[in-house]
Amino acid sequence: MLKQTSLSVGQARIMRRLRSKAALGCMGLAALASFAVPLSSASAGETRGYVVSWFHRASYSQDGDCPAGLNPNADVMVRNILKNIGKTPDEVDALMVGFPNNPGIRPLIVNRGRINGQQVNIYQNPASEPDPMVHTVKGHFAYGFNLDGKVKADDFVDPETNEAGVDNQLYRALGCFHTERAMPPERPSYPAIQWDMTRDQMPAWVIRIDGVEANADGSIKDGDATVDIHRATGPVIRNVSGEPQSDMTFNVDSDLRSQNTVNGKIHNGVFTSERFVFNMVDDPFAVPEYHIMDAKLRLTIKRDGTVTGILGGYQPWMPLYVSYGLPGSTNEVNLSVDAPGIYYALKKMADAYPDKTGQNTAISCAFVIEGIPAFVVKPQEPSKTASAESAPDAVRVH
Amino acid sequence: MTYNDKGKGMTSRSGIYRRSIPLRAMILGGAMAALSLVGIADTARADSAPAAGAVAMRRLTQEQYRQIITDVFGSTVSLGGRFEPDVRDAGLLAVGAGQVSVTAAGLEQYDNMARSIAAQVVDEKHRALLVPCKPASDTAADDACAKQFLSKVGRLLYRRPLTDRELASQVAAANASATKVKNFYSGLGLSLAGLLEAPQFLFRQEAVEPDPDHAGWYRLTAYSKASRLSFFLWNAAPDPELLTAAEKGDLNTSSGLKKQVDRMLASPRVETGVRAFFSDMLAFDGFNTLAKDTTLYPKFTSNVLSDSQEQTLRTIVDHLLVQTGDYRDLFTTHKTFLTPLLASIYRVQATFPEGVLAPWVPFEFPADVPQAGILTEASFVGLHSQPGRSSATVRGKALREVMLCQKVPDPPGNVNFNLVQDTTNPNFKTARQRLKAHATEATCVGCHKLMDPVGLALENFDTIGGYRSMENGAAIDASGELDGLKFNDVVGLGKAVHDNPATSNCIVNRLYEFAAGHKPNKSESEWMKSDLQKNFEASGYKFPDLLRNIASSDVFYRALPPQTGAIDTPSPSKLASEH
Repeated sequence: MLKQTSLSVGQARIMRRLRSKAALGCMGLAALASFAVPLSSASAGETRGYVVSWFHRASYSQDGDCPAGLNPNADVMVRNILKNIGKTPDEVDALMVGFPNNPGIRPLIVNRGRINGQQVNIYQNPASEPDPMVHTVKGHFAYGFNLDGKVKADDFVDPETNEAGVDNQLYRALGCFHTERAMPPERPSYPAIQWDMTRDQMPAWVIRIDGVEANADGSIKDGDATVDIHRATGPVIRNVSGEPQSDMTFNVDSDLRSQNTVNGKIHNGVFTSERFVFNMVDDPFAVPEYHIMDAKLRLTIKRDGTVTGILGGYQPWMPLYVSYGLPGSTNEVNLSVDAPGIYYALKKMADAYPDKTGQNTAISCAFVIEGIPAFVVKPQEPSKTASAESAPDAVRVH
Repeated sequence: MTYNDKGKGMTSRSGIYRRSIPLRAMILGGAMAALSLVGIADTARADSAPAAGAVAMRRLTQEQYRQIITDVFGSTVSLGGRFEPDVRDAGLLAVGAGQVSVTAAGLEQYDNMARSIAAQVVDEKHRALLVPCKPASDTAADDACAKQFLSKVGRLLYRRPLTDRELASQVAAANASATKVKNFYSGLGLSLAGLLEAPQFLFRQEAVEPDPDHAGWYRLTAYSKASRLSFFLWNAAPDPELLTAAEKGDLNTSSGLKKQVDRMLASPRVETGVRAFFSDMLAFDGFNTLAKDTTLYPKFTSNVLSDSQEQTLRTIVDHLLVQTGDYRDLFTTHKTFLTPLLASIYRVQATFPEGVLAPWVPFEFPADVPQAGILTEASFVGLHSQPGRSSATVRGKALREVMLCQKVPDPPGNVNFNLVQDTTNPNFKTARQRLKAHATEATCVGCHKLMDPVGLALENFDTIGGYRSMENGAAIDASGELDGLKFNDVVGLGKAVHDNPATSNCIVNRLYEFAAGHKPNKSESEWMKSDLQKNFEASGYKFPDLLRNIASSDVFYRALPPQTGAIDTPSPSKLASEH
């Protein structure tokens, strides 16, 4: 009755290692953590798998980094909108009664755009109102990479690596909205809500690192490695805490839009990639599809079995605007985002890949990416996993 | 002797011993203590008498009640109530079922369920399928149709045909009600609810009769034989074919009994019986109240809880019934079944089919990992642990009592557990160190010697079944000893349990107790030793052979001589005379 089964080759390998007295004597908790990391075979070193447990715009908010102040909360913003479309103070007061649930407000907000004097949907036509000039970040620190190789006066410094010349205009554009602000490990509220709302439907993102070699004390040896980031065929399963459950098995979706493989080097437990193009399908409610050019990735392989890092590069800014514009007034009223304001900010601060008019189509950015242990199975791999060559403890087929 | 139908007195009927009292009267009158066990004393057995056991009156377990309703009325009829908790005795709920009565609150629940079920059976959605006749008028009584329905259903619910008197009483009640409310189906539902509340349905009443082939010997009546056999193999009431065999007297012949045993063992329904037995033996009812500290173990969801039980049951059913493997190999096998959540608990990669909501896949752990045998599955190490930590003592006690049928005394009331429970003490990082310090107390040493050497071998598994090699930074030493056999790790423990004679003897004894519903007396114990255990060994410890051996044996259906107050259900011959 039993049929072919997969097995944890890595687990067997680690078990053998743990049984050696030398390993037991010095591995300590780090060894326990490394055992918890699902592993599979690799030609050099091991393969470690993860499921992405957090991916979003990297924030590093500090007091004073928005010298013009933070962008207003929704109630103030909506009052301004109503005033700008010609409502008297008394009318504004009347409309704001019961905010944000006053049904009379939404149509006014949604149709506040004007083209040739006609009302239009502001989210579909974000340039149909004047630039509201949202406040932007003037601070010193932001996560990311020096993408253009230059160190300019207004560039950021990465707070983790101290790399200068960091290009992260996306953070500059959004970082003065209340709901985008946080100091790690805290998560900004808007991305956190967006992430949480999409987890149960969106197929998970998964990471594999090939070529990891651990020392006896659990630290990672320096050397070459390859990182894969893919979309899985199913979503994460949540544990009791509402977080993704670790050690689950994920099958990689063969959709060519979500296949990313990049080489790099591990140094002091941190993987740093070569440049690559990162393309991933996301959730329509968030960003339908990422296409990060000239991307760089750094991933810290932590002793507790998780990974955390930064993915940076140049991302076309229009899909990012869609993330704000698509939900329409819901975002503006509930999350205090000024959709056309963001449109203008992204457009102005875009810093790469100009079109024929000279308008830059992409904006430098940085995303935080975190992963917890998981088994990641590529479509062609089950037979390889169970082969005698790669799996000396090969599973028997009944 | 027998109570008459009104419960007001006792009358003698030749060879048949019977008691029949309305359930409510039994409860409210406080008579259950006298009824919970029939008045048959095994001390009355003469030395020359054959091996024979007591008969019992057992309350249907929750699963049996559900199964009967599903079998008789289909799966679309819901129960609509809650059950009183079952009681464990001698390691089994099946034995405890002979020790329980029905409380007033429990009676209320039975009443709720009976009314709910009856209402569904006769509602417009179900009546065309479940009521085998149409009344002349929906708004009036119909004697013939009511009789047809109640006799058919009553036979399945009472596990025997209704007597003429019982049937007439139920039909009269249905007619009176139908006339009063001007609705045939309402009246029918009322009588059906009455059947479902009757002790003849809620309790498995075993009746005995003289064995015509052996003077002075007694045996179960044919219908009681059918019930005992069916609840044993299928955990369900006899199906119509088995009842017919009882009615024709086939079960009193070797060939007739063999035919039915063969049929039932060949049926897929035997899996239900095997699952019921192992769920009972492994005390899976404990999962109903099992809690874990989810701050420490966030993986422990309600789905993990149910998957854990199912994993072990699938492992058992596949190994024992499908593969017909050696029972003892359950403690060493690397083969099991996993869901994605369980694979996560065990931290193994498994391939699951796409698009299946709750996939189960067969899985084999590599030979050199510690997951080997059902002792290492989450259902055992998780069930026998504390909410926030493992417990070598609890696991050791469970292994001794559940798997080896050995009794470990309860701890004295004044034991100080502080040292054992403090997992943060830097001087005692591992459970072994803590227990070693704890067991220096003289009153504790004896029992801990029984429990700890086996329980500590399971310390590589945390309280939800996840593997660990360290505790508080110290390596876990999983070596131990079982009844003189030493081992280095949990795999060695599994082999030690496999090779321990108590393991196979235990399953034989437990299975017979489950089937018979009582603790074996001396004669039965001797028979189990000389017959069941010996044959089990000779068969290569094949579980289906053990099932067959019990189900086919005379002893299983033999009874001690009845004493005053014994319970009776009508025998086929008596029913024939009444009809």
